[in-house]
Amino acid sequence: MKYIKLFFAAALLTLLTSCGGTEPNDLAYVVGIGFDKAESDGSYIITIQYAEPTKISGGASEEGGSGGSEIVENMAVEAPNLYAGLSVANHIVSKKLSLSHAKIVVFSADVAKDGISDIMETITRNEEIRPDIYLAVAADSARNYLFSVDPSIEVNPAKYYQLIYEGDSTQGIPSNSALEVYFNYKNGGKDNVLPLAGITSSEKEESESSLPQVFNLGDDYKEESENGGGEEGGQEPQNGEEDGQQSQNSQEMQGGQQSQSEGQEEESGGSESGESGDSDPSKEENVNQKSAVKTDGSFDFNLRDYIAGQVAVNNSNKSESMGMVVFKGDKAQFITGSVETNLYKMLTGDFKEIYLTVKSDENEAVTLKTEQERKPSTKIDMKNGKITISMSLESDLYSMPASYVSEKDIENFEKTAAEEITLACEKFINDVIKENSVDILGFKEKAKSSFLTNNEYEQKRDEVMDYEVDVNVEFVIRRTGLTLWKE
Amino acid sequence: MRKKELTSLMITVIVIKMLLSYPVSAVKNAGQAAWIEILYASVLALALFFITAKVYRLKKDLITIAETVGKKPLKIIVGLVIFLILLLNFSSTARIFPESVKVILLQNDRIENIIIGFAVVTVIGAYMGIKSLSRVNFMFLPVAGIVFAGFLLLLFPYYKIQNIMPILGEGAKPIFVNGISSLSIFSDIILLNILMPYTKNLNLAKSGIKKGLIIAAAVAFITVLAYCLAYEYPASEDYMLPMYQLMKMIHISNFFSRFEAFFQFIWSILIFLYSSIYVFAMCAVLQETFSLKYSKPLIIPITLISTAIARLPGSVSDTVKFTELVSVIQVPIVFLLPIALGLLSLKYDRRQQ
Repeated sequence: MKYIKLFFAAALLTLLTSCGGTEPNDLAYVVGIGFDKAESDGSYIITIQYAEPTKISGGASEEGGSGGSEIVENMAVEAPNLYAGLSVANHIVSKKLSLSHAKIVVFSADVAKDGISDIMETITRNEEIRPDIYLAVAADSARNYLFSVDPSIEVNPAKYYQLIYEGDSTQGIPSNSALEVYFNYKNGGKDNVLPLAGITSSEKEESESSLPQVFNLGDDYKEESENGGGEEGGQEPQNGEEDGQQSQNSQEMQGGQQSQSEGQEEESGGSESGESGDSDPSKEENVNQKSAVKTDGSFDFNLRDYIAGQVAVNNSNKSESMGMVVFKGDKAQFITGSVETNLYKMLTGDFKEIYLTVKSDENEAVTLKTEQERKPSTKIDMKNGKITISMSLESDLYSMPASYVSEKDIENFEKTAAEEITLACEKFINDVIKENSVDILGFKEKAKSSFLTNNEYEQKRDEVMDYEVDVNVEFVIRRTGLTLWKE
Repeated sequence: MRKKELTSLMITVIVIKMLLSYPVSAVKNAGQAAWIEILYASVLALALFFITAKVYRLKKDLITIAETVGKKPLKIIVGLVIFLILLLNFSSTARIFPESVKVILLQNDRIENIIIGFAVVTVIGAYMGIKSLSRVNFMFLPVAGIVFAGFLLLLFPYYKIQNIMPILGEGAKPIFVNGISSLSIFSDIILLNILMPYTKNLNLAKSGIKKGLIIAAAVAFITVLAYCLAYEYPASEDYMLPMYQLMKMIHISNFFSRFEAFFQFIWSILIFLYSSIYVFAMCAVLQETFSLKYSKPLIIPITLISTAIARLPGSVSDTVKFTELVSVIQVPIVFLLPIALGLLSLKYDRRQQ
């Protein structure tokens, strides 16, 4: 009996010490997935971006990884859904595509406009995809965005997306996770916002989106910049581009599949041009950068209200993320720029710190590193139909004109800054939220505690959107960097 | 069996349902107020247990009492009813567990192979006997408890008080009227009744079961509350394995995630223990009902019958619906049968005296 036991123990030791199922070497790890509308009804052009294990740090590379576009491979296929796409793609890639390390899902503007609920169902149902995977909407084409990703200083593609989309310290883009987005659209309470992804271009029309851009601060300043001789010439809401670039992209991809080599050609073209900085940088200058309206108010003073595709003047990595896409239910409605996104983040308490530029009394820019001590509190008074948002901001003085701000002025400056932030927040709430009836700040959700049952809540929740909103901002300057106030 | 071992058995058999689809069934009924429903069901279960404990004065299981009171016919009827309840309870686990394993762990394996593996482990466990099972369970449960408590703490950043608002969810009627069916999560109390002859004395058994019931109710309450706080209603009613979903949410900074792997380990061991205890109890019921000399030869046939019954529902959702239906039927039997037989035995004793 003793020998039989020993035999079984030895057998278990030899039989159970291996990987079950698929060997890691036989897997290709998908990092990004893109959804574009295909020409045929009900189909998508699915872009699959997967890590190149021989190039990334910690992979087969012995020299610490190469970085740039080499660390990922891209391919695009046409299919009715993600799994059908993966199935088709597995005929092109020898290794089995695994979604367990997928970091981002990008929807094209057209897909987002038609509704993302079907794709979200697939993502939520999948046991491989993590619930905290990032979601983004491409200003025009998801395929173009993913093919343009060229993280020159990253050796791990997943890390690149993580650092870009993590959100709490990144200005101008909202943080998000797939699970939260799924909850929001499913529960019908809060409306979703997703980061806007885009590519820089030397030709203006290429980065235009089929979604209109809604301004709040920018709107007022547009006229001023037009009259005041601003070189920008304002920015028109970009609607009416129904099929626009998207269909153009789809046409380019007739036949259903974009081969890997084609994608590489396109990508390497981008890289070459980007890397040719020593020849003539102005040739590759992002012309859309100047289309962004320069804000002239006190909040985010003298900064442009960027959307993705307008940020970099010149950069080898053509992909960028800036601004947000506002959804109603599962359908994208409009885009807002970086300034509105910062206000949104401030109102939701979704940031750690932000470099806030405020206009001084002498019309000069004062930059403060601003932190939110605690999340803003939103109180809903159902009886009087009033919503009160209170937030507390703490700042460190980082940059100011050499002649400005003495110790005695600081209290006035704090008051002015608090007033300006309040005004900007109220304008954001009126122009973006109320005018478009989108509940991105979750007012309806916050009113839940005023009701006893779901039935009562569902009957009255929409009334909350008509309530008057008050914003109270407490703003203090705590530190002045390594120098003291000037006398 | 010692008192502690009985307590730990009680906790395991009740908590197992929390690791499967029970929280979703509660959410489907009461909405985000599922935690109130479980609290209510716990209070009811404890009240019923105290009533049962008052009328139950013999260190005998229900089948033996039925024989004393109503001779052989009643013994066979009661024995078969208890066997049926245990069989239905076990069959739903024997279906949902392998299906869940296929979905989250062994996607490429055939479900038949997973069920065979599950059945083999169950048979081996049942062969070991109740003493070994209760000791292993007693040793393993604290480990599972610590891991579980750690996970609930790590979930803290995901808890949103708004998710359990409006406080009464779908209303008072679903919670307090339809919610009576939630008593079914404590239906395993009947299993411990069958195992009563293996305990040292009646008072020890009663106190062990009471303690187990209180701890299990607390764990069930915390689990459902955590699920309601982290997952917003009505999205929370979409998931098959709520605990697994909760574990999937956790990540510490950007470095540590995929904690569900720990959960899968704990979950599998607990379910294997649960299944073995159940098969052992079913064999004990048949042995006693039909006055058989040995129970061990029944282990393999009963396991095969149970797994075959488990395969009858066409899909996992059918199994969940079937389990919900069974729970409605079994609640009155499980809680009223011991009280009825206890009262009859008291009357019988008085008549004898």
